[in-house]
Amino acid sequence: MKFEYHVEGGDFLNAGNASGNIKKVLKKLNVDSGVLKRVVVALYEAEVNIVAHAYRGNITADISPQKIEIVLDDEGPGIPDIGLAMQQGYSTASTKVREMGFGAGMGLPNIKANTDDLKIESVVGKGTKITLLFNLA
Amino acid sequence: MVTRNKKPFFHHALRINKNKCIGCTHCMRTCPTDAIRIRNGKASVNPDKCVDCGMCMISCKHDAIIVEQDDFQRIFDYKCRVALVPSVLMGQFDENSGTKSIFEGLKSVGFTHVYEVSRASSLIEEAQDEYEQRSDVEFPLISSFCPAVIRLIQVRFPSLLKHITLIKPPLDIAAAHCRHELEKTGIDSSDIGIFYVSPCAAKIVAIKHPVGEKKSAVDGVINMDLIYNKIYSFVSNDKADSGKLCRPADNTHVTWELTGGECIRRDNHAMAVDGIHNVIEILDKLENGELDENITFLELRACDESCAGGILVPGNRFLTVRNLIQREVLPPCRKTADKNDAACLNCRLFGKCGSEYLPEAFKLEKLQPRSMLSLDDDFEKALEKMEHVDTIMQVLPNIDCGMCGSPSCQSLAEDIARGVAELDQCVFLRITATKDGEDVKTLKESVRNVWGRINNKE
Repeated sequence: MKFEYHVEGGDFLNAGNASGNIKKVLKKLNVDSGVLKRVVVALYEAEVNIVAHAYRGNITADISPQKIEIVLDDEGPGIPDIGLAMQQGYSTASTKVREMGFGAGMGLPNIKANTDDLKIESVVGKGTKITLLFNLA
Repeated sequence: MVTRNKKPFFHHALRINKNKCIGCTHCMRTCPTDAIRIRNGKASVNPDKCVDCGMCMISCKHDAIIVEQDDFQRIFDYKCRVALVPSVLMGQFDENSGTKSIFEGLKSVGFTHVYEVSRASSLIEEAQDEYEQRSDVEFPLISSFCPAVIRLIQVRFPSLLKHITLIKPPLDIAAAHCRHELEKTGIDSSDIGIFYVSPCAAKIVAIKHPVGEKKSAVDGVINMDLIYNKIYSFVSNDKADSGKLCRPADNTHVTWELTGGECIRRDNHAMAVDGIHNVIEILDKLENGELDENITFLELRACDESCAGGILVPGNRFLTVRNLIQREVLPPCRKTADKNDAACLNCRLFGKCGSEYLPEAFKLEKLQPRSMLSLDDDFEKALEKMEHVDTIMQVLPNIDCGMCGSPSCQSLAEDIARGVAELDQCVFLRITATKDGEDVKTLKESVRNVWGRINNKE
């Protein structure tokens, strides 16, 4: 079953709507609370990344009995050096974003730690597509 | 409606008086766990989902929700009858009423001893400090004080159960201490009856059907509104030389039961939240990983203004808070003053609530989830049902009018997918369907199942 959400860059007020919604869905599906927590934490980080860094993006969650696959596809600046972005504490977030309590770095490593598989594809100047995978079976 | 063959697993203190309930939907809309439906013209509570927060009772305009309690006469089954009182009972009286008056009032209705729960506060603080040093705890810790919050987490936030401090709440520790002290004076344990004067429904359930412990240390529960009525005239007529309210003893916090009561001695890494909908908002944030990592302790209370706002507390909650804050700064009892002065009953009879009460016996057992949100225990079936819900939602008006007997269009759709409701319960659809020449008779039948009547003539 598929769920789609749209995220606007800079809309911090609504950051977390998609992860909040997915959480409700997963609770209704009786997903193990440990898995639920990992999905929500990883998705929230990734969702905030779109809000903080990109112009806009779409989130698609595909839930099947075997796995949960969530694709976050954004139009934005892209990540020039994915290896660097994966390092703890590295951040390119603007001062404005940091003042709002976001952008402390560690977004991607934290996402990775919570997923069973993380794929990142990025084109500088165009956007970033990240795929979060959680195994259920 | 949900006719269950099995006996409900969870016991509740809140009951619906079917003679008074008119099915007005107020309780159904306010219930934070989506536990109420209207069937046959009356509210009906799903015992698996109810957390005994009492929001339904507050919202009911017809006095149709009642709270069970023990027969007051049961106290006389015991030779030694202790009223275990929360500070909010004292908070019903202003500073001009003496502690003695209140205690004497309790004695006049049949109790032989009075013990204040807040006397256990220093001990709980010690236990919490020790608990925080354990290596297996998950921060932020969530206080185990409020039983409605524990049950809310079991039902709606099972993934957060591991944050709850596994320390018994003050009520249990106070009861055990009290019993121990009385036994020391040579009274046989079987002669001691400890009765808690409860400010809310959740604490009644916590005593009758405890979570995380085998048996409560309390023998019975008397509702605070009943006690208030019984002692009110005594206290108000007994203003002569009773002395002012005093604190029960050194190192006690009579404001412990109020919002912020557990945070007050902590650093700024503790946060207090009251009101069940506010608590849900914070738990949602915690579950999403949105809470600041520097927050290490959450004091969560289901009632607005915590226990001062308990559904069985007779007085205004803000005045109760004020009275208790005033009492907190009063000097503690002077034990040596006059041994015959009953005003100091509280501290004279009972020794310091010391750390010998801290052993393993005061640890709560691991708390179990009782998640009731899922559409089906089986993931694949749940997924199918969710797709069904999705389809139904496309035809429902999404105005959450409640006329169908479910609190929102979403919950009606879920009830239908679960097989416990029918699509034609939707009044909106019914009107449009009737216009289109659908079978009115079938629709009437369905409405009758929800409301028990279609118009007053029936």
